[in-house]
Amino acid sequence: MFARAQSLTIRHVGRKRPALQDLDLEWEEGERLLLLGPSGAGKSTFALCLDGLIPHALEAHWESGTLTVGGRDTRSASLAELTQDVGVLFQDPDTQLVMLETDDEIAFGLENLGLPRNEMRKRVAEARATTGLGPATPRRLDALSGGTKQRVTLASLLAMRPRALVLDEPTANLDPLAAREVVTAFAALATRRERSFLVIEHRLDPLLRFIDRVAVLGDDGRLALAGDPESVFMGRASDLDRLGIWQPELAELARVVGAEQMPRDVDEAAALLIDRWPRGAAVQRAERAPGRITGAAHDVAHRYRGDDHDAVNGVSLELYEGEISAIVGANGAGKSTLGLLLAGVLRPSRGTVAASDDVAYVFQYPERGFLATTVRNEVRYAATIGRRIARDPDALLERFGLARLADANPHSLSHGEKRRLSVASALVTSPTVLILDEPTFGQDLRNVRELVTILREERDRGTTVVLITHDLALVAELADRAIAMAGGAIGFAGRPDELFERSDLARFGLVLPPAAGAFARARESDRAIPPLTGLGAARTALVGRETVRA
Amino acid sequence: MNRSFSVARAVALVGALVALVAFFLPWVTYTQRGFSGADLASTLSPALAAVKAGGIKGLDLGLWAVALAAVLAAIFILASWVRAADPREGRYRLWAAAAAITGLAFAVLFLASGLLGGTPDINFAPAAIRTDNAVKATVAKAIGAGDFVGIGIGVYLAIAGFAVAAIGAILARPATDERTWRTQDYVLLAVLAVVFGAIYWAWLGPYLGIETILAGVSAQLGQELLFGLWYVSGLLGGYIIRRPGAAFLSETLAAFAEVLLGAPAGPVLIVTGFMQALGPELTFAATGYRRWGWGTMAVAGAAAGIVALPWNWLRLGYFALDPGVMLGLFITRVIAGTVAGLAAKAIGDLVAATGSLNYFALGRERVREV
Amino acid sequence: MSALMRRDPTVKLAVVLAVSLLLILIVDPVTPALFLALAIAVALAGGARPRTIARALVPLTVLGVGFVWSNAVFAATQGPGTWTIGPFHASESGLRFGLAIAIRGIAIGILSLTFVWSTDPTDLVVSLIRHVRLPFRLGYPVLAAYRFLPFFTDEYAQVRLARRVRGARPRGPLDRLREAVGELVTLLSDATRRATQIAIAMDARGFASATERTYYREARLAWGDALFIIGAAVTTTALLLLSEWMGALRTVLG
Repeated sequence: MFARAQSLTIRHVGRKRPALQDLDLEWEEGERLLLLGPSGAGKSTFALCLDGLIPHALEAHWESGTLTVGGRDTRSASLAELTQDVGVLFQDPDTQLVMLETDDEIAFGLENLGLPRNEMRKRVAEARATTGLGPATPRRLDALSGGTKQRVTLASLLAMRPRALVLDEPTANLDPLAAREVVTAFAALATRRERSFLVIEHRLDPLLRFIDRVAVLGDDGRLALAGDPESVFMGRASDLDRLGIWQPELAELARVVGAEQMPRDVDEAAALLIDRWPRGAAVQRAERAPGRITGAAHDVAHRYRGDDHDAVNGVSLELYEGEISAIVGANGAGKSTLGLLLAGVLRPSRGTVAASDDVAYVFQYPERGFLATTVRNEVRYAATIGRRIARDPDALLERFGLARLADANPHSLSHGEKRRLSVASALVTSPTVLILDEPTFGQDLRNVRELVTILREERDRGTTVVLITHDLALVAELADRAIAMAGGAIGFAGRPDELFERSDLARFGLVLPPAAGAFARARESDRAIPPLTGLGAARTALVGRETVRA
Repeated sequence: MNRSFSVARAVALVGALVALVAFFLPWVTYTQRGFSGADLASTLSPALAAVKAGGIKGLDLGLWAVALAAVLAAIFILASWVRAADPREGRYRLWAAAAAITGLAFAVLFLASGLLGGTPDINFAPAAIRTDNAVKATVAKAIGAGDFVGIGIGVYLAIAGFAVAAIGAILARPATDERTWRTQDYVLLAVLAVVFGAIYWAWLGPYLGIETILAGVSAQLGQELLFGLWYVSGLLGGYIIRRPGAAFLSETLAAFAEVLLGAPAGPVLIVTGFMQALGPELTFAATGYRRWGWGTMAVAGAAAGIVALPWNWLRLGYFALDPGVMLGLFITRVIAGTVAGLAAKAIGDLVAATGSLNYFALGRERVREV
Repeated sequence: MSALMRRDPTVKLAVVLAVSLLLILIVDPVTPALFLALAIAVALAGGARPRTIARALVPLTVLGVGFVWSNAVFAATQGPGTWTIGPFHASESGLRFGLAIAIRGIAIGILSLTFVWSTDPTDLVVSLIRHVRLPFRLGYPVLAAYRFLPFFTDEYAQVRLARRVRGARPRGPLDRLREAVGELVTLLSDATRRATQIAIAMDARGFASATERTYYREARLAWGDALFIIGAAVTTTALLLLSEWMGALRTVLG
């Protein structure tokens, strides 16, 4: 047994409720364990405890229980021993990097261990090889992409030769292509089985092949259920749904077509579809007539001060009433900049923008937009500057699960809570145009469902909704129009299903979501399989049809 | 840890001795045998004769007080060393620091009196900024003759010596006293320094604007007002972390960050930062790092300016300015410093309210559970 | 990579500091001018582009002008050669002193900037840790924080943008002040959270508990550094002698 938590109860400073409650969990030596649970506190807290960071580097209220890692009780062992045994990769590629250049970063942990220089050089080379950081990797860290930065941090941890590796949502802040980079690196390590792994993730499908066991935490920080992937994802699906936890799309897809075995990757899922998909079940395209124009950009360009290239270049776009558009693309493609231009907040260096004066914008980093000192006042802010309130602020707080935090300072909320607060604040005036930058970042299934419902309501009321996102599954489910950007220009504008059929998605930093990928792969062998964009489309297509039952 | 304990004390002791010797350096230079204050004043230089004529009464007492302060400081430091095992040995160091600061105050006063001479006619209307011509002429002659500077160096060294003695005395605490510094604390101070560095850079334009406008009145005035901004960084660091050395480190790091960011003043700015850090650190030390109210912060801010004065005096050539103007600058400095101290507390409290400082001393006292 | 960039950062820092402190003792306008010429020459030799130097000279010169004016008009000594400019009386000695302070400020500024332009920050921190015994617990956090400067600048810009987006329009100076404070608090709130995250990232790789620490980067002193110091000392002395010979040298010491 590598690690064991017994009745572990941990409460963070400044929080009333414990993040972990009476947790009993075992992690075997050499096991690849997947930890699931509601967004935020509990799982990351556990990761911090495994490393000894709680309690040695970060204060917390250790209310009860013990945690033994590598044979040591984490409270009495030294941080040095614990960090050498367990390496933790966190989600933000930028805050984990502490040096300025790649090799320095990888060697950082080794310097702390006091290794001689030639040993350091050897291990740095080794770590680079293991994580695929070839000689072409730029030296300066700020020149690296998000996925590469995460690999550098991973290399830095591996160089220390830990017995176990914990990955806490390593792809959460990355675009799909970068996420794939990191998952590939992880897969390579996981197959070699040289150490124990604990993974905390939302994007589950690429990991299914590399997981031995799944443990699920509940809302209250307790262990809700555990088991092998097949029995958990196929057998306990309704429990997972009730807990509001993301599930692998492929497992859901299998259930939708009535299969009992869980496909472990897109190929297996495609085979399943070829086997079981009722030919002829497809989705009718509902064409929407475009309403009036609520915003437009004409050949705009924008360059930030100090940059040597345009962030947005030669973009023309119109926004319509009662339509949900999604702007997708790799990090740095200019999506957020375009959003700000459409909101009328940034002035273009070239071209013109006609922006409605009733635009609400939800920032990618919500805390930057907070203006009040309590959550309640934040939602009501629009009223204080004389704008009309269309939705009941308290009802919105309730819907987003923020009611009990009404008197708290907005900055003291968790990431997910902050994001929901900023969306609520934007919705309160039911604006003409609503632009949301990464609204589903790090959110629970429950909250995303709520958001989808609300956005559909808004669209039906005639609001123009613009989503700037990496989440293609969300685009498939919700968007009427998809706009893909690359290098500051629009490379595609049309229906989401048309986007999914393209072969140059990598150019936009995009990867088909697993379910859509399964359909696409199945189509390669059998054209009769429809090009469905995701689970939502699949369910709709099967409505009224009998699914083949084994 | 015992080694640094003694190093700090040794440094403090050296400081006190330097102060003692340096203050009498000019007199020694001029081979005086008797050390009566009045004699010295009349024999040495015409400028000081003017002082004797209408300046500070009890010049004798002033001169001897300096020597006494230096000696007392040295004795208390030795006492603290000898009785290191005594759990209340901190008392001795506190007395040593107090003596050193008193000596420093007298030395500064002496310096000021030497310059201001008689009662200056301070009139800030641009056309009328003049002081008594006789005094000016004598001070000019003194500068020309090198006498004044001879005194100047002695006094500056004395001031420096006292400052070092005070700091050494205060910082020579046993490490077991407080919780040790965590990585978080260092990173916080570094981040504060960089953030304020970024703000400074963002405001450099307006700063230069104010500078040029105020150059109509006095460039130094503009500088004085804006020094206040630089003080805030150090004061905020000290206020958040509340440990010995926090304000000191914070202000020095802020200066270092500015150098790295290409501030015009160059690495010399680090020395300036060092000097500006002394005032707040001494103030917080004087309260035993226990009182963090508006009063303490205001005093700490003002102290930043005052204690840094001798250094800035030298660096920016204030000693060549008209005494009336100098007094004006001094007052501006004190006001700017006080405002900085109050601003630092206000900002610190607001940030603590957001819950971001829960892991630091300031946040801990006002954690609101959510 | 010019020869200047290869020199050990601590050595460079020490030289710049020493020359700056020396210049502080000088009160005539000619000597600093000589040093300014030297500074610009060194900057060019070290690989700085003339345009960069010119751009750096602008703020320095503006500051300098302020000092000249100030000292000319408010000097303690109204010596001979006094003349009147409007309601102000300027003196020649005051003017000379003002020029001295101004030019010396510019010279020190250029020297300092040359140092910054020709030094890699990581090398600087490692060098200071090895040679001056800067505590590594201090050096690395500073380096890490330095890396975040662009993030904070971006964030500051975004925070200001965000307020506009929400519809906040300040009316009057009090509103503006409140707004500025709000922006600062948001910025600091985020910065302190990041600080905690950075610290955790460092401690997670053993930083806090490092007792015997080794260094990946070398920080050896070479003959070039010794030559640099000697060269600096010789040039400085030469310039001082030149100034003396020209009869222009005046220091605080008379």
